[in-house]
Amino acid sequence: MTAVHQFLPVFAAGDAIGNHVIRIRDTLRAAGYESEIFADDIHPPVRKLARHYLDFEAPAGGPGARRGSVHLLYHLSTGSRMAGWLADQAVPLAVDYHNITPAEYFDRWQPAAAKVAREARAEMRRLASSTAFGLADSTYNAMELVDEGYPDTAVVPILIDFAEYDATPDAATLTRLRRRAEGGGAQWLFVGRVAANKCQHDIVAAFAAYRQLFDPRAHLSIVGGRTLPLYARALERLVVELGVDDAVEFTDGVKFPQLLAHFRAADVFVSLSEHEGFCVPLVEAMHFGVPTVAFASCAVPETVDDATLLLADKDPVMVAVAVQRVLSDDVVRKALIEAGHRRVEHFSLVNNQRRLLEALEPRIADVG
Amino acid sequence: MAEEVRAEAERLAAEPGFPADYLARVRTAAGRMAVTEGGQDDARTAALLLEQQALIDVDAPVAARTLPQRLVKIVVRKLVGWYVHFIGHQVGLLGQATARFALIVAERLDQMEAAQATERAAMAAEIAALQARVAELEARST
Repeated sequence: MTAVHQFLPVFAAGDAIGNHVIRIRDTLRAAGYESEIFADDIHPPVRKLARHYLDFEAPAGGPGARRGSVHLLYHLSTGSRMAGWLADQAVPLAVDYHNITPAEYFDRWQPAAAKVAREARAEMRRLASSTAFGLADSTYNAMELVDEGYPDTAVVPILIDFAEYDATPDAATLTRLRRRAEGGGAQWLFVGRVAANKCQHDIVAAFAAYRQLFDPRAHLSIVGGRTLPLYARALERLVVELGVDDAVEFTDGVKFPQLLAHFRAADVFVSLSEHEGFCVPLVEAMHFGVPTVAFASCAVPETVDDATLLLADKDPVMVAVAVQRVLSDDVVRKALIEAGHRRVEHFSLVNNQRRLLEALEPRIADVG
Repeated sequence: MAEEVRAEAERLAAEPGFPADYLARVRTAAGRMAVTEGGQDDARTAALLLEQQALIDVDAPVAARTLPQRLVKIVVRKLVGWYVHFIGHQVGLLGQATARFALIVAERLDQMEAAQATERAAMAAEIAALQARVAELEARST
């Protein structure tokens, strides 16, 4: 039986890449492949699903002994000591590239993270010569692979099971958010790590402009883990400085049912992120019928297609006007919601599983 | 539709009651956090960041996944609060003083670089004039 084993630096429960890896494993097993997950740092909730990468044993008999029967798929999104080790294994290696955030976004806030990002980019370049082919979440990511010297690439969007989003949301969170909404005012939402490339500061600025120009009772929820503490603190100060601290809520470390409640209570999802290799939360918002407004950067336009009001400029007034248009114009809102549902169908689990196998199988056969 | 949004934004900005002062403040404040401001080796940006972060927040967040965890955090915060506040206040003052010093150094550096650029430009003009004069004299002698 042909085996395709996956490797990733950090295997965490509930994050987009962790879920993607589990779904790839299930898809491969259902298609008749042997498939295991190996990681360097395995978080406790998923400990039973993976093994440490050093536990992997390449087929005996030296390089080429069972060439083609075992393939390794490395999920590349950050630097890892695992990359060099994988390149030395005597079995074919492929990468699934989820994008590396440019180091410039960390320079000001966490120089150590900037260093890691630069090393990761160099590692990605070195790995190209040891890699048979590359998968990427988007054409944007695939182009980065090509730029770094990867010979053969294919786009396989991240595997999302939208059925999971129909689970029951956290009742307490939903009640609280709905009570807040009953007080009037639009409910803005952003979901994503609190990080400089996500530009939550631009969302706060646009939200402050929106409150001043259109809706003084509006609220903004920024949901996401704090990966850059200095940036997060500066963001909290910005909210106070602009006088919107009573209307902006930062929520760190939410559980999945709480996240569902945030999506269900939102009137509009706003993303002004400057660097995205795919942007899963935009598609999640579409699943919930929440209209979306976004800055047209990197992979965002190809992810959302016509289902988001895309802006080439994120001046606060421009964004505020765009949100007001989406919320006040029924025709525009309904068109965005309908297009959003089509986009969700485009990225359905079944469709993306098919894309995965279509990309993977001929390449594995070629390598084998 | 983006063009319609732009036109609407421009129309709003031209209205008499448009809160231009507040929005200018919003743009400036958000602009300070943009990645494009300053570079990796920009002294002023580093000093501004130091000033921004010099205020130490000693009230650690107590949010937790479970109620017992939250209660433990509240108790620990109350127990060590007096001590952390005392230290935090001094660290904050030290940070602000350091930031002030760094900003003065950055200001001096900017002044020196500006003066140097002016001197360099003046010197280049002088050299160009001398070269022209030499060329003119050479032309005359031949």
